[in-house]
Amino acid sequence: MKESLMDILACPLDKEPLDLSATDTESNDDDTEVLAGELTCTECGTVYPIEDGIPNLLPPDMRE
Amino acid sequence: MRRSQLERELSQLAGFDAPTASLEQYRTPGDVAAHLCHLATLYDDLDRPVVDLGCGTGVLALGTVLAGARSVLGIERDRDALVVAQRNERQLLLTSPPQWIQGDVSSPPIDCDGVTVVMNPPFGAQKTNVHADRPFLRTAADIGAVSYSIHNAGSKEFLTAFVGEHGGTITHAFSLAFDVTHSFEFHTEGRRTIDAEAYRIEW
Repeated sequence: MKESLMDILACPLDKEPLDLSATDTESNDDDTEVLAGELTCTECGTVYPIEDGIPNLLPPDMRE
Repeated sequence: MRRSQLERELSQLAGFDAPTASLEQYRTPGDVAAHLCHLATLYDDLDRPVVDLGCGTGVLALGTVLAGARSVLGIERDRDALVVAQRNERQLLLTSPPQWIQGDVSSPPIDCDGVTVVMNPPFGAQKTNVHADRPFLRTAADIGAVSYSIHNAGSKEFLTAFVGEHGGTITHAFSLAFDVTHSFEFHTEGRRTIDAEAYRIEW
């Protein structure tokens, strides 16, 4: 996912903003590609993993 | 890109590796996707950000990019399908590829409005899955200025009522028929013709 996607991503549980903590990134000309890391809800603290560039923003009870 | 070329490009994309029956997964046919994307360009609907709800292997999302959309997001709960979508995206060598996120359409992990929604939701054709398209429509009403969607034949009455309740207007409605191949165990034949309807709705 591109870092600029943070502008519209929100916690699926309470729609509050998320904090990004990236552990693997790739810089392009215009934007940073986040390949791995975590998104944490600024309100409820739920953590959502980013793997292979795809954030898993399923509500925790829907995760496999 | 011309509609015929769009159809050719989209028809070459990969579908589901292992379709899940309960999610009614089948690959959106290239001609159907090309038709919707072409219509969207005629109404300048791809000038807005585009969100593909339940994007599966990404055919509609990729179609909107090929048709000129510059900001496209695909949301899908099945990670395996998103991996295929990523592969399809790489095959097309796009300058502004879609962003893919794993999420549930009923509780979408996005905060936006005024977008163009495209979607081919489950039809609710199976007994355990009646009105499976309802949460997709609800989210489209929430975030969309306009939506393009595919439903099973005979949906007009339901859609007219739903759209009316949510303050929207159906501007286009047309019939579609297409063949899908599938590997679900409860089907005996390998191909099936789906009678469907497509809608453009202003919310």
